[in-house]
Amino acid sequence: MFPMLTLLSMFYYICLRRRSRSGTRGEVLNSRRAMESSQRSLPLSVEVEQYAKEVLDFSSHYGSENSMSYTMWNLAGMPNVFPSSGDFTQTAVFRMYGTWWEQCASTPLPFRRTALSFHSQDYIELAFEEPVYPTAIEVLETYHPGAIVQILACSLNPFSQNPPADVRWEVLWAGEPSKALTPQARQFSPNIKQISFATNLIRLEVNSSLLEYYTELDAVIMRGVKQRPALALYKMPMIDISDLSDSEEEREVAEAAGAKSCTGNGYFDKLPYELIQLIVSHLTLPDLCRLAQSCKLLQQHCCDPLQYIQLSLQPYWARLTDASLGYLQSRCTLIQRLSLSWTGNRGAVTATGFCSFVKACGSGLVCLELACCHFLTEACMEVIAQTCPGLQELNLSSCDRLHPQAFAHISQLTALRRLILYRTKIEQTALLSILTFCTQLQHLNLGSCVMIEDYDVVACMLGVRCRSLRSLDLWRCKNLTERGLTELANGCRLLEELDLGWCSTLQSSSGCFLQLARSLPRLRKLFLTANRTVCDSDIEELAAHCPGLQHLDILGTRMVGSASLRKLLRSCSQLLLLDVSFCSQIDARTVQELSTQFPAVAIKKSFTQ
Amino acid sequence: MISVLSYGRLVARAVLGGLAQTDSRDYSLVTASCGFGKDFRKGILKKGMCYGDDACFIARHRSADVLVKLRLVMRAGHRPRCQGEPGPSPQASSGQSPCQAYATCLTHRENHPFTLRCSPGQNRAAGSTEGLWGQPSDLASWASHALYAEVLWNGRWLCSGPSSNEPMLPCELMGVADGVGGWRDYGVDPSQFSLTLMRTCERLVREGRFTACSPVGILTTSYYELLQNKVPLMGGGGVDTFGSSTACIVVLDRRSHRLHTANLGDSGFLVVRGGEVVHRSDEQQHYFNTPFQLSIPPPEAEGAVLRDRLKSLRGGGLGAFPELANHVEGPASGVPCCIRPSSRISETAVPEAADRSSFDVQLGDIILTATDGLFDNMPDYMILQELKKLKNSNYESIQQTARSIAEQAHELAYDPNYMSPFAQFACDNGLNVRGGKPDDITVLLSIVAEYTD
Repeated sequence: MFPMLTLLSMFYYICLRRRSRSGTRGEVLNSRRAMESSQRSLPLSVEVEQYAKEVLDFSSHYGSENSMSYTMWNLAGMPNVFPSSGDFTQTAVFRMYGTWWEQCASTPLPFRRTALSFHSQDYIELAFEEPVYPTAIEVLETYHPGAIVQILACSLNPFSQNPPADVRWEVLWAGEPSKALTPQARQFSPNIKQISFATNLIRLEVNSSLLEYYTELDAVIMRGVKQRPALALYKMPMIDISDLSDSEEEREVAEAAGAKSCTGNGYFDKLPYELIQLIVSHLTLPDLCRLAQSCKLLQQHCCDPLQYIQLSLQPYWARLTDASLGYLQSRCTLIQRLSLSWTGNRGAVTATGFCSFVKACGSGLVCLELACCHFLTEACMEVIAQTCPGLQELNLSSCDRLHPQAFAHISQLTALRRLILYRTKIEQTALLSILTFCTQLQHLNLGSCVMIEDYDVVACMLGVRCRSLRSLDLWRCKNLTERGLTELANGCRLLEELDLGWCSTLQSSSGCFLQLARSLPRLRKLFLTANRTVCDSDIEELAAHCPGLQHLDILGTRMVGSASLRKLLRSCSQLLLLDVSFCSQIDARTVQELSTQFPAVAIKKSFTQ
Repeated sequence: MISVLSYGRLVARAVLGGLAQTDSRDYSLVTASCGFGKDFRKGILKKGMCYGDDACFIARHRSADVLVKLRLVMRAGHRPRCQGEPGPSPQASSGQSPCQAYATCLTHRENHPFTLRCSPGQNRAAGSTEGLWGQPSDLASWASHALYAEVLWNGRWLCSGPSSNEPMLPCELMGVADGVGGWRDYGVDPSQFSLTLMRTCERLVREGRFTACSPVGILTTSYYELLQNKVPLMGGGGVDTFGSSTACIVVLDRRSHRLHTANLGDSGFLVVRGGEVVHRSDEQQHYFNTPFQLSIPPPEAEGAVLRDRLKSLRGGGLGAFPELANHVEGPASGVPCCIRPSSRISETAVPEAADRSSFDVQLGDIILTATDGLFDNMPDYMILQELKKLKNSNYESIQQTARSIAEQAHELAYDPNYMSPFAQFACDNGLNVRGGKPDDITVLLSIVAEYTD
């Protein structure tokens, strides 16, 4: 019994010893490993947080070209307003919000075949100091957030002297347009995709169509690491149009069609040509190109010039190059409406590439959208003027690098109906010659054209020559006075939309607004933004003479009271939008009362905190 | 040893400074402000730098914006190891914090001057910083580029600061603006305009949208920025910012030691050297008690009280004031015998009409920038007397002197029997008045000193 016990206790003791020894050894080992690992990765990562250094390019802004209030340039640098919210001058504000501008007759028809996933309306490109592999992008939105729909990164370093041969754009984040519940400030930090290159050029694309008022952005923060993240598990992303617009069903259709082609074309052979054309016409451009590769029959259909009567390449701005324009050339011989807006920047499309495309396909062009195309030169405009005699619509908005002389060629396009020259450097002589020759103009946008010396002369010329004018945008024209406005109102009796926002030299005391109301009975949209002199009698005159008024903006006048507004709302039954922000006589309570009384009208009252 | 060295340096500098007229050192201004609003209901400092209807600003400009922040994320609980240098206590040797020392070591290695500075509060919070980081190589490459750095350790921001080379502050600015009180009769708060104007100036400086040698440009730009605001009012509360203001802006260019000034209206500045006024601003008045002023007039008053603003804009401002007799029927009319405390509203001058000057300053020069509340109540000799009491150039003594000047002017302003410069001037204009001129008083007092961190 006793030796048994001894044996057992000895055994137990040995077990204990062993366990304890092994335990300590394990611990030592573990701790050493931990020390080693902590030494190896001492600074786990060096993360850099930076604000935008410079604003490189943008499509539109609310502010004036030679000021810093409400301009896109405010997006560079540290935040000025955040975390407070409200309508502040120190932020970046885009030109439009909501659907008010799209409702207007001056807005062109949308292009068919635009991918459903393409929402962007405006963009801004920001350069940062240090190229990094971004780990987070934070946008400080200080008023009516929710407009951002896409964030992209570019492989090109805007500050480097030798640009690389291929410029790649990578989508870091994409989403649907949204609307925040409150207009309050927020920090928008979406989960972004990891990319395989370091970037210091970020592009934000926005869609403000769901917003109640202008969105305001204060600053953009980019966080990132200098070294490529060690986790190499992510796939090598490729820039692909299909990322932007991918629909599984159509791919299946394509695959199915491809499968059938080896046994003849099956039922497709029995379908009438027009029917297949109709089916194919619902595809987006990348799908069309993919389908063309599936079989000969479908290639014939997909490359039929009838499929390319209208073509918007705007959603594919990141990929469009001279080469792709060259490929499209043979298919676009019947093209009538072409949009190259936003495309071709940073050398992707050259002036010669564009010219040869227009020469080959431009003879039938009716509509040409070239917003923010910085590759345009005077030679391009000359080619357009010579090869597109039937051009009716031309959009050159924000082509702010186009030389003033280039605009002189537009006067040869005598069939022009719609001309957008927003934020361009057009000069007075060129504009006057355009107005002399293009007498069929119906829609003209001269917003923020800073090189025009005397808007009165322009307005008089419009009144004399362009009597069929239906919409006119003179946003922030610096010196229009009652003289020009009177001539305009007398001449262009068909005018329906008139934007006189920030034309501070118009004085209501001269009676110009009264006369405007009297002579333009068809007026549907009138913007008198920030004209401090608009008064009660102007509003009453509008109420009396313009029953069809739909949009009215009288922001920032202290001389309009609620009585005249009530009168206006009663007599203009079609009114949809009324902006009375910063009208000191109209307080929030009045706005609320009026809104309940006239629920069909969106009455806007912006605020600063 | 160190004291001997520093003494030697001082001597050498004194000798060199005596020999060569120009020195390469950077100057800077030590500035203090003080003021009184004329009515006490507003309190002394309302919001920002604002005394009554007066407003002022003091700003320094960085040549490069602080845009890049560096963040070193360390594993929690890990203690940074000492590398090379012993550093038992952070502030032990030569007052350098470990981060600073560390950065200096980086600096030597990268041959690029760069300092990481610890702010004391943050450093104390971090407490257990014993020494320096381990592998600095990846940080070094950063440090050589970054303009601004913050180093995070255990989730705390340890140090931050601009690098010493690039963002040398090349100039310093200050300005005063005096809201014209006449607008109060229109139900307009005169301080809104002056305050907003000064704030906009400050923002322009912060964003670097100015050139040091053209303070008129700063004034012009910020004036036109005011016109660009959606809000016909600023600062909220439903108060309109119509109104007008005089303005005076002083810029010191650090490198060239030149003082550039712009002055519109009856605010002004003095440069005092060795007890004498060596340079001063010209007063700009249309006529008695009606200074030049920047304004945004309310629309209904346009034409009635003021001539068309555009006309004066087109007419080039200054030349466009031929007849003075018929142009102002402002709030001050009909009361010529008693002195109205506030200046009258006058025709709008364009900011380009401002009087401009440039002047070379020396070390020890005193620059006094003030609104008319001071100059109307205190003659030069009294100001100089007060300034004589100023012995050294540390902030406290300047603050004290500024305060005593402002207080004295404030007392004199309410003395009914005192023959103030304003009363004197009124007498010269055929008005029999005595006493001080109760007005808002703003005094910015600065001394030209050598630039130090």
